[in-house]
Amino acid sequence: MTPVSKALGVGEARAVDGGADERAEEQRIVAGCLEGNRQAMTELYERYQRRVFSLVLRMVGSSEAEELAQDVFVRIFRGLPKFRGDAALGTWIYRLAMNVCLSFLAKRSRRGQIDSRIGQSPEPTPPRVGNPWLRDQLERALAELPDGYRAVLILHDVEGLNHQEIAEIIGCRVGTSKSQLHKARMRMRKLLGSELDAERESKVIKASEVGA
Amino acid sequence: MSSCERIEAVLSAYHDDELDVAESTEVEHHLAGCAECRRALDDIRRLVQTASALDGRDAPPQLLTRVLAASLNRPEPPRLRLWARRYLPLSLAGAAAAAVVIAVIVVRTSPTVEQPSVTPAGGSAARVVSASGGGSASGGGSASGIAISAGTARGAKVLRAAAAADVKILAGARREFARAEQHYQRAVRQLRRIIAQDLHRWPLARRRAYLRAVGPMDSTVASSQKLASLAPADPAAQEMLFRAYREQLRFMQDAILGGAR
Ligand SMILES: [Zn+2]
Repeated sequence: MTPVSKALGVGEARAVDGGADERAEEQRIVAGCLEGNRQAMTELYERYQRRVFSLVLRMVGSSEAEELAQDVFVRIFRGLPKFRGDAALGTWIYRLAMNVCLSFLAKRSRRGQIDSRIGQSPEPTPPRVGNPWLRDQLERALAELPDGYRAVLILHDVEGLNHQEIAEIIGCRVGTSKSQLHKARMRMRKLLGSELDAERESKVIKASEVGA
Repeated sequence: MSSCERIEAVLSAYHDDELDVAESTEVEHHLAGCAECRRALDDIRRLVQTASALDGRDAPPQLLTRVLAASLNRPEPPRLRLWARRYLPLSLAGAAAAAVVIAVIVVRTSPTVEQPSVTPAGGSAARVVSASGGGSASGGGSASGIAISAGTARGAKVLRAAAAADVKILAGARREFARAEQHYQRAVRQLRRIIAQDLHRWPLARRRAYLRAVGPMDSTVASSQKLASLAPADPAAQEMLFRAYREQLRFMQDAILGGAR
């Protein structure tokens, strides 16, 4: 019997850190940014805007995402003189972005404001099965996770980072990242219980149709 | 803990291929006979697959413009301003302490000071220097003017140095603090020397008043020094020490100018 783990491969990991050429290229861009070179700053922005904006969007929701993403990039350019190059630039940027998000969320929960996404009824999409539908449900459930769970699950399962990188980004131990991830997945399983069941049944039906 | 609970606790690690061979084998044995745990693993698998297939979202196009505008035209970094606010007064105060001595010496050695009618003007000029770092009058006033402009140039130098050494801000601040303290201590020593020379010429009542007050004044400074050395990074302790120094200087200065009268 094939080991289940092999059959269940996570898929291609998206590493934060590229090869040596990539590092040299980043050093060139960082050096340009430090001189206040507009072109270099634009390059750095273009490289990371999608990762930063997606992360911020999923962490805080759409109403605040743009403003926080701007804050993140301003902090990146302001903080670059302190970037030592001992961590990958990507990890450093993720850490900055995650700090901005988590401190914003802490402030928001102290003020007692409610996340605008929670309680929003999902769009009534007729085909209640299939991958696009499950993706929407997953985005909605993500918003309901506790902030710490959401952070780890986004970094690991959505962004494809490993626990070592996550520990650096969040400032926790590797073991903590692993246990948080498991708890986050189990919470997601609960939140998505009926959706996962519906999708499973549709597959069973399809499989039996094929078999018939 | 039931065996299902034990297996469920490591299902994520199993899914992510993080268990050793023995642990994986144990999980697989259990899965072979437990539909409930197989279902849990299947849910994890679909959750992770769906999560990894989520699309990234591009930032709105106007964001780049706003980021560049905010980053390229920024004012002085706030840390520098905080630094300057907290520590620049110390170095200026150090220069002012030196100015007190200069003013006192000028007032004391100026020939006009010996005449009672001129002394008040010189005395007040020296007091202005110690209190606010500014002042102009006849006699001692011109000397204090020189000392203060030296202090301002020094302040500008400190600011430039701070801008250049952004990362070494704290170390720089500590050095600046130590330098200001040296100014004060040197000023105190010089005034003490002057007093030692002049003391025997003072009227008996003034001499007694000075000798009565000087002990408590010195011990106030000593205890502030001790506090500041125990909490080297605490601005409140530094503030207290410098206040003690200022009072000590003012006290000695008054004693000298009053004693000359
Ligand atoms: Zn079981």
